[in-house]
Amino acid sequence: MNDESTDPTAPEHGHDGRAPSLGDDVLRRWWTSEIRRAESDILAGRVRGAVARPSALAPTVTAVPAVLVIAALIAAVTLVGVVTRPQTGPAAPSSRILLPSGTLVPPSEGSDVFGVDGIPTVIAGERVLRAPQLNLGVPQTTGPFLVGGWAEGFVQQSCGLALASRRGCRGGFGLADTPPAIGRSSASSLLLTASKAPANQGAIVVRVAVDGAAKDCSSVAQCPMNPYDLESVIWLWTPPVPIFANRWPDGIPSVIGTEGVTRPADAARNARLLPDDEPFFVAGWLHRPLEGQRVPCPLSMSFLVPACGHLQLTDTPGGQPADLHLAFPATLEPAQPDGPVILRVHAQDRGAALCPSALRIACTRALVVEAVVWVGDDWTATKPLDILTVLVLLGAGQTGAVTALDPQPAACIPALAHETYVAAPGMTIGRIAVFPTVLDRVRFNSATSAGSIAGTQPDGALCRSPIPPTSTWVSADNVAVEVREPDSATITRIQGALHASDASPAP
Amino acid sequence: MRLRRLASSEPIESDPNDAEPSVALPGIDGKRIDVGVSGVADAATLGEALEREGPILLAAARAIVLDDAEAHDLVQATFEIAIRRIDDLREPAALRAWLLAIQAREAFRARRRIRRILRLDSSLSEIPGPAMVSADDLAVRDALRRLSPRVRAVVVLHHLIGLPVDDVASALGTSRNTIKSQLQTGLARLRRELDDE
Repeated sequence: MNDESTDPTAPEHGHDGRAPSLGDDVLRRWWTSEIRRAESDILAGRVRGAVARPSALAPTVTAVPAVLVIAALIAAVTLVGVVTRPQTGPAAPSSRILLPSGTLVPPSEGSDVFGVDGIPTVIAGERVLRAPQLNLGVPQTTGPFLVGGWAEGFVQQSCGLALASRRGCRGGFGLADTPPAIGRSSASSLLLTASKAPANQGAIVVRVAVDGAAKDCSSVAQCPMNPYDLESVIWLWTPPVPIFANRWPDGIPSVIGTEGVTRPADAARNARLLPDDEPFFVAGWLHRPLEGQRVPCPLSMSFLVPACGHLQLTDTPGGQPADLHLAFPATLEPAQPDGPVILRVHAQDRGAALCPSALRIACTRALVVEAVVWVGDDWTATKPLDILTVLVLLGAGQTGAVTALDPQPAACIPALAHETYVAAPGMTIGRIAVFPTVLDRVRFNSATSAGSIAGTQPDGALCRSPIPPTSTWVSADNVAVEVREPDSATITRIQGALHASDASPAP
Repeated sequence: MRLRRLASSEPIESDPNDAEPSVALPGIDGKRIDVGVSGVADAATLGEALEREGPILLAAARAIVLDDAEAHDLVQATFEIAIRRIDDLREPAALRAWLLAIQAREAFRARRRIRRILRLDSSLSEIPGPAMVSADDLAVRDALRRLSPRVRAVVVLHHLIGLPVDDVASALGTSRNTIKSQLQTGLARLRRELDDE
């Protein structure tokens, strides 16, 4: 703090050269603390933002199948025991599970009390706080404590950039006070910093600690970072899997809760036309390009810059990417990205203000992924084989060897599987149709004859779609592979490859 | 999850006159770096260079405008302007001074002052809780608040950050003598108030 130095801690001699006074000393200390505070704010913003956050949470959203989580929890029950819920009381959860943890308070039979929503208010004599209490004020406590609510998984709020975001631009494990609608997080959710958190939604009690750096925050709103760290899950109740009655033809739900789900083309249009960052749902098939096709993020300040992301959304499995840029926070990326998905996204992110001006409009149209809402179920699964397995069996290796067969306008649309891919030119195989079930594939074979496939006209009338007379279909399980110029050796080889899956040892 | 729009949000439009700049900037560690916004790697370097200056800009902005949300706005606006006008940076080694000058000018632009007056969303103002503020913190803020905004800016830019008087004069669009006079007045008042605490 002198005439030319920028070092706030340097010995002070004011511009008038007089000796430092008590006031100078106070001012110097204050300025040093202000620099530290600014550094901390920016760092905290970056950590909670989407650009630089480590992907430790990625598996918590979608990667771990719910069945595995449940299995792990059930195993834990046998080790630790189950909190006994009184038989009386409304809204009883169907099961409650304890996880082992270094900070777990051993349950004491009969000592637990449950609230009207079925979430415990006391566990083993320890009070369970709720999210609104913690949002109002940060407890001045020295140790961890219990918080109950409704788990929302990891949520990312609008804007991933500290300086563009101010408050309201946070990410973390969401804990709501009321059961959230499917795919929607509550505006009053408590956000917890968590290196690992349950992927499933439902009622939950967790043990949290106040972040050491946040002890001075008077309230969550005033705190530059998430003030609470999730230490362990104490109690969990998972609701039944929601049933989606309305589906697109490819099996992806078309309605979440009461809200419609758009497809990529409509989402791209929304991104151009929506006036604000109101989130909406978009469904499609997520696709991770091959290693060489990925483009690194060009500007560390913003992940909204087009061509920065590497996950693509297509309308058909493996099809042509939609004309939109998905800004996909690393924390949300599914471990197995290829497959059907519903995302909650928003455009017009405020972080676009920091994009270079030449790219700013494109940045405003980036679809920022807030949450992965759904990742496929029995309706979209192909059994017993999926396309990746088929490619491995055929020796095609990488998904780049095939592209999806985008439905083309035609007088007679062949009744192929929704997941129908076309092999790269020069390969001996042509189309690969992966049907949902073996029965579907058998139906296809029975409707196929030399030179044509059964199909439908745009008005629904049945028809026959011609196929090259030289090609033939080799089938196994739920897969039919078209061989372009069949000879007995090629057919035998492909049959052998497809049936190789049968040779795998039974589980 | 509907996020609140901020009072200062403005439509974002691209400026067709913006050229894609290319210039050498100093790294924070003194190493020179080539920056060209049009290039992928170069743009990343520019972003990093700007981001590294973020703390000093934010601290200065807070001290000048004494409003946390406004300070964030100011830093963001400074970054935007810097990216647009990077080719105006004549001396790459003076990146920090250049950014601070942009920020100071922006702080006193008429429209920003009006926006600050019109800000109705009180939750965006800095309302530090008792646990967040020390007695010294309160005293310094109070003393700074008693200075006029321009005198406060002069004290922050020269006395706290160390910008040369000539640079401060250039940033605030006034003469060297005026700056020296404001500095003398401001420091004297600050010392008097803080010594009394």
